[in-house]
Amino acid sequence: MASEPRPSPRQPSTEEIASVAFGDAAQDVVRRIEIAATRDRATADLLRGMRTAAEAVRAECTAAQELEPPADALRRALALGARVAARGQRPMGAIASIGSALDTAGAAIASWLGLARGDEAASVTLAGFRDDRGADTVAGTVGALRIRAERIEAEDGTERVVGEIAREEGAGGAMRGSIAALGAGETVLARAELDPFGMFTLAVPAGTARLALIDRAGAVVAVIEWPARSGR
Amino acid sequence: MSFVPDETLLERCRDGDAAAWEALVQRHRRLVWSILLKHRLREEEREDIFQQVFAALVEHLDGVRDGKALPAWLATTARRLCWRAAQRARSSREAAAGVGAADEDGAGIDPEDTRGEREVVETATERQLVREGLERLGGKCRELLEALFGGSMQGPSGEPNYALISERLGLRVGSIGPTRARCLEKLARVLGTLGFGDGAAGRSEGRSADQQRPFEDS
Repeated sequence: MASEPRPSPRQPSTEEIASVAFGDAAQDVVRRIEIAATRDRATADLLRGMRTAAEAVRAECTAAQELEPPADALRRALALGARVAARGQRPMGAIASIGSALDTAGAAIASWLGLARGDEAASVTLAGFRDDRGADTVAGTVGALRIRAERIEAEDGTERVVGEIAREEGAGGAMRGSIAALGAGETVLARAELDPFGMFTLAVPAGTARLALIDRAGAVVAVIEWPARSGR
Repeated sequence: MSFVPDETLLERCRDGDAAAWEALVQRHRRLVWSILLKHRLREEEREDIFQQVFAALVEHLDGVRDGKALPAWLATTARRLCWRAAQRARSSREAAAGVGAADEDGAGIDPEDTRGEREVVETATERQLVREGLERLGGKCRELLEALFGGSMQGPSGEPNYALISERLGLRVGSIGPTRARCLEKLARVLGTLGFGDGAAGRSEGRSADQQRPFEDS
């Protein structure tokens, strides 16, 4: 006996597949889509792709809040944009930049270096910039070393200095040595070793304005000095 | 606003564009922070390392040319800095206690996290791909998916509040379903293109929605 051809099941719509992927489809729709996916490669691929996307976005949206860095950390990372902007203004001539915003600090460093190393002709270039917390970030070049440091005040009143010492390209690997907070009469108030990347974090007494960079042989290579704080 | 790839942002940063820097930091902030959260560090150490990672990027802007490699570069840099910080902390403790050198294996990783370091980085970079996918999707499609999956527009039982979504996004309640389907399909394709997961998402092009696409980015 001839039988009538069975009607082919209706092709599921993209919206129905999305509802299964999203997780709010009725049970009969879920069953129908799953059956369709076993018969049709394109439906199976679309369902898998949408499920992957839905799960990924759900996981991301759920975790978004806990993965958000603290506002202060983010602000400090964004403040590095000043360094990026400074790239557009390079190069500054040796010594010439001392006459800019950090002329006082630059002169102090040059003088200090001259005394410390017996080298009056020490070539110092210091470029500074202000971030939104005031003049707490300094950057400069001493010989083949590039120095960047930021002074950070925590809410509990403690202070840290975070920074890095990098050699100019072609001048060898990271600098090894230490960084020391200087008090009156060049006394060392705190000291920390540079890590293998030339980075450092140093807890300093509140108000510390000068750091000395010391090489492995114990010689002072440079002094980092902040301009006076303004209106904090 | 159209999606600007990392490569372009890096190039603009090299030219001294601070706005491009902000876009890069905002895009990758959660990736970096998620790596730091996996390590046993004090909160202020994490914050310092967060800054150091981006400081290292400023320093190496000329060396990081491949935008596609940037998430992995940031993740690896973050992980290394975490190791160093953990190593320093342990050395200090041991020096104080008068014991020998530390074992470097698994330095600083949370022991309760049984996944390996590689998986931590992979998870973080996959999450970054999702964020990039959403960013590429842009516009109302992104807003709609975030509203549907995020917690900000959900009812007390965790179901999306369609009336609120409709009001906030200026979309009729009846069109949320079809629009959701198109946006999800589009995101699946974007994620597939980005190499997310097993790539199945990218193979769905044989079936595309045939309705008009009000939120399609041009």
